[in-house]
Amino acid sequence: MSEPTPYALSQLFTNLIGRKVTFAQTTVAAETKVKQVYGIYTLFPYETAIVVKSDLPLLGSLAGVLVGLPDAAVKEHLKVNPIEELLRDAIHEVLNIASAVITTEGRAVFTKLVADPVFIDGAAGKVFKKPDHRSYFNVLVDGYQGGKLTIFSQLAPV
Amino acid sequence: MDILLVDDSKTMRGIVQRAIRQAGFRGLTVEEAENGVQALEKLRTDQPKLILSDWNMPEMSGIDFLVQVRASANKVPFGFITSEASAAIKELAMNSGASFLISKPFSPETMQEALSPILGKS
Repeated sequence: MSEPTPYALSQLFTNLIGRKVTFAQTTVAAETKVKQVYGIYTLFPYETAIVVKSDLPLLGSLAGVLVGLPDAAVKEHLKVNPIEELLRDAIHEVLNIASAVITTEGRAVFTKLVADPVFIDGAAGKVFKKPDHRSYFNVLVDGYQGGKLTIFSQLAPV
Repeated sequence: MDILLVDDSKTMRGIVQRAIRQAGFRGLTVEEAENGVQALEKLRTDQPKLILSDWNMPEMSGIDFLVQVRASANKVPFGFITSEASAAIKELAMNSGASFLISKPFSPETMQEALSPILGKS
């Protein structure tokens, strides 16, 4: 499967939030203590899945800009558990819009967001536990918190 | 009602409303619905000048909603605003009676280009 390019990801998110967003590809994502969340996508027509693991502050920043929250307010919102509807809904929309660029083969449809990998089940569970491919990115968001994002995918059946 | 805006995301409904204003269309009455089922309910009592709909929604997808609108002989202009951007999806939308498809993310200029032929110059 052809992986999404840092350029395409940077362009999409910059256009989405109207601030400079920079995706830089890395070879591996070092584990940190930052809270992470998982976006699950169904990949049509292959009946497989794509999983996106993201630092929560990164997704929170992208979502926060989308709904007009300043950086300090995003940080405050992210301290609340569960996350308030305003930011949670915006995070869903960020992941939904990302479906346009997270794969170059097939059609990805965002299905759900989970806060714990134990809830990644079915085809997504298989992809997450044993992906054919992982794409690692460090992401910067102008004026807001950035973070790490990893895309887990499988080869499309021939 | 000028526009019926159908999207399950409250965030996106807000973004679309903002883009409509930024595109210069002011003073329009925009009614919102969270899915096709709710939207069909609103169409029973009011006829908008334009429907703007998401594609992927719970309860009833945007394309199923469009098919039902056309099945009731309602010729209201219908546009999709969606992260679905493939040629196959666009073709399906147009063949089913959509006037346009705007891919997310979009700019106010894109909104203006799509809406002007239907609502008049902003």
